[in-house]
Amino acid sequence: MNSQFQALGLPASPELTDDQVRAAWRRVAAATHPDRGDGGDPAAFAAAAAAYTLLRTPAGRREALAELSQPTDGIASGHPVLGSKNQLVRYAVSMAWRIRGGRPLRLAARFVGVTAVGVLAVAAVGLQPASYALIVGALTWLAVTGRIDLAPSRPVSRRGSQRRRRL
Amino acid sequence: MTVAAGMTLLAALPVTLVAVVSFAIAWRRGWQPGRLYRGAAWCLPMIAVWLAAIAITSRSLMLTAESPYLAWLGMWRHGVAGAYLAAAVLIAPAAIPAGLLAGGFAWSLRISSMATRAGGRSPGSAIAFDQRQWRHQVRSATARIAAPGSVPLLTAHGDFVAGAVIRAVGHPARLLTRLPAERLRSHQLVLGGTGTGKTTLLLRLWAAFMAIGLRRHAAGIAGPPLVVVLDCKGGADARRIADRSRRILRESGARNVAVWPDEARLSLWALPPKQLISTLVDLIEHGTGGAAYYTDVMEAVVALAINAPCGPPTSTADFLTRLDPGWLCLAYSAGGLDDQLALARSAGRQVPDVALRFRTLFRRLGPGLDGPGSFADADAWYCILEGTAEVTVAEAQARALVDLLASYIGSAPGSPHDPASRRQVLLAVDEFSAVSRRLPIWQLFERARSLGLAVQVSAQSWHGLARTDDERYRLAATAEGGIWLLRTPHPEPVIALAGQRAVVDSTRQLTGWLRWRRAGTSRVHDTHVADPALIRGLDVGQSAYIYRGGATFTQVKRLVAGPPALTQVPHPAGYEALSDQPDEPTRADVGRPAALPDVSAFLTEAFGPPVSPATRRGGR
Repeated sequence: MNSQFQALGLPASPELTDDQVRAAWRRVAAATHPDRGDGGDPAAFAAAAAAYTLLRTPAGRREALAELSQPTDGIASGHPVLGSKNQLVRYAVSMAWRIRGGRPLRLAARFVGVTAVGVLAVAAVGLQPASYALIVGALTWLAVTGRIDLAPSRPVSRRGSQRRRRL
Repeated sequence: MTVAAGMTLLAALPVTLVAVVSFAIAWRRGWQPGRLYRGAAWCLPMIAVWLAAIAITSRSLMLTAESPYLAWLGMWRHGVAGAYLAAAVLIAPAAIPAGLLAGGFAWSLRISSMATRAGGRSPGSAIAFDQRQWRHQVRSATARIAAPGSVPLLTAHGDFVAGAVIRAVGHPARLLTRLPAERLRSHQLVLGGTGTGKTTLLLRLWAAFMAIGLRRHAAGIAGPPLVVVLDCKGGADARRIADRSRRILRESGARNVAVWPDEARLSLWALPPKQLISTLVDLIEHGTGGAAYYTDVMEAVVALAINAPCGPPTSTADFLTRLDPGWLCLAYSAGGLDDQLALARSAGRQVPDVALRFRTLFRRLGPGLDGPGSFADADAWYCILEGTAEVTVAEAQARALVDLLASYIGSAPGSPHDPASRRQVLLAVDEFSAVSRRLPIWQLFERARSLGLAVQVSAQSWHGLARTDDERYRLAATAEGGIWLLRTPHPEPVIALAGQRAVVDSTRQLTGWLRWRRAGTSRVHDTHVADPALIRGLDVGQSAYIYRGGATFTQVKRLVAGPPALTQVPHPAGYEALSDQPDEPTRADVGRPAALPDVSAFLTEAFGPPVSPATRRGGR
């Protein structure tokens, strides 16, 4: 969305006025119009026209700025942009992001606790049914209670999905 | 305690230890007994693995059946030998679930004995227990909402999650306050003073409505959602909340959020003529009795101006032009309209007065209602009415906006009989008391169901909800989606609406200073579902959700949106030089489009109307 501002050579600032945007549009349109003697730059002209359509009103500029500030964009927020078709890799990457965005220290403490229970159980009685059971019990506890320390998985909004396709 | 019971507890020492620890944790954290029972249920995988491993290693069904007893024997054998860790590990698969069950049962007995005032050492024990448990429950709920992944906006089933449950009375005791999506599509009432977390709750409700609406729209069940917020307080604070609402609603899936009147406009002149007459007349404050005569004259003049043969007005200026005796007589002099012409002539002396009043009204209303624009232009509208600074203007604006919304819903694309194509609309009126004098919102309540419109009204107090008790009760009684009660000084009327529940009250004989006998009597009596003292003492972010004879006290989870400031976005290279170097524009790094868009309107706007070749030649 920053490209909308870039297309008109403007900063992404909430202080922009209608006159500034119109002046920028005039400047870019005069320099890139396809009717120029040198053929202009149709691509830049089209991008500037699309940008001006959005940014010409205060409401449009607010929308564009709000879009910029949103962390739904994978690159801006650190959320992984997934291109792999492999579901396992997809899940692992997503989980890594959720751990990083959640409370990793608490998760680590839980993991250490579960490991300690397993090690102590095996050290105390060896590989017996009771030690197996305790390890399973500790892992169940980790799975049930550890979820709250993960960051919520972000739903892909319709704008987000469009943007990822574009990326 | 008898010797036999003591021996049993000692024999089952591991179970006793787990029960005591779980009892203490439940007390400390204010848990319900169900939490411990659920913990015991989650031990089932552990028990299954334990029994399966024994069955595989021993290859004997009998030994497997005897395994708890054998583990108990093994535990004592290792314990006597001093191998305490091995003893604990051997008995743990059996002792943990049994201990959790025993602890849960003991905790439920303790709660019920204190609730019936049959427990405790002193007359005030039950009260102290309840207050202490409330503090523990609040602490647990606060810790729960602090966890990043514990309170999603919606569950996988599409239920709305408001926050963590502090205490539930007459409602299921869950960890999270979950509401079915249908409740958000019904009328709701939110009462809470300033600084109690009302805005946080409202933002969560709006975001949930948007997210649920988009899910239903994606599934083909309903049309796209529309959230319309009337912030009737206004001021700088309203702009800040509008900005936050925009970011939160966009996170929920809204494509665009319009802020009225600062950034977007609506057109009053899009109303159907009949509705337009009624709205315009109601925008002007008029009295009853003798003043009703002038109201009738005004209505007649407005009707003449709007129903003119040339069609209804399209702008404020157009309408004001028509409020002229000469214009009206000329418009109706075409023939066949003798009655209207006679009316225009007879009202001629009053027309300038009517025009003056409307001129004043539109000057005060500002350009926000003069278009262009309609509710179809955005997924959400945040309308700021300056109810604190200019009450009469805010009242008129609110009236016009509600009429516009009702008209839009009535004429929106989609069959009124086909819910799959009908828009899902939420009208949220924040600080309703500021405009309640002239906004008959209960009329909307009554026909909202057929329009597919949910109305959410919020106010700072019961008395601020409407002018009369009749209107307040009418609003509260029709809140089918429930009532959210935050800290407010006078919650009794709402609590009375919530109903009562039967409780057991026990008395015991006092035999001396703080010495009670076990003998006594019990009686059943009714008490309020929600304790008024508890409501008055609610902290920031705490609310009581009252619905169908039950109350759930909730710690509301705050929604976090993206950052509001964009100053960190760097200026593009060469921006500073742009104003001085018009021939060197910055070119966007985009791909070549398939076809150039039609930008003739924008080119005209920037460079003026195109000059025809003939004119150009003539110029030369």
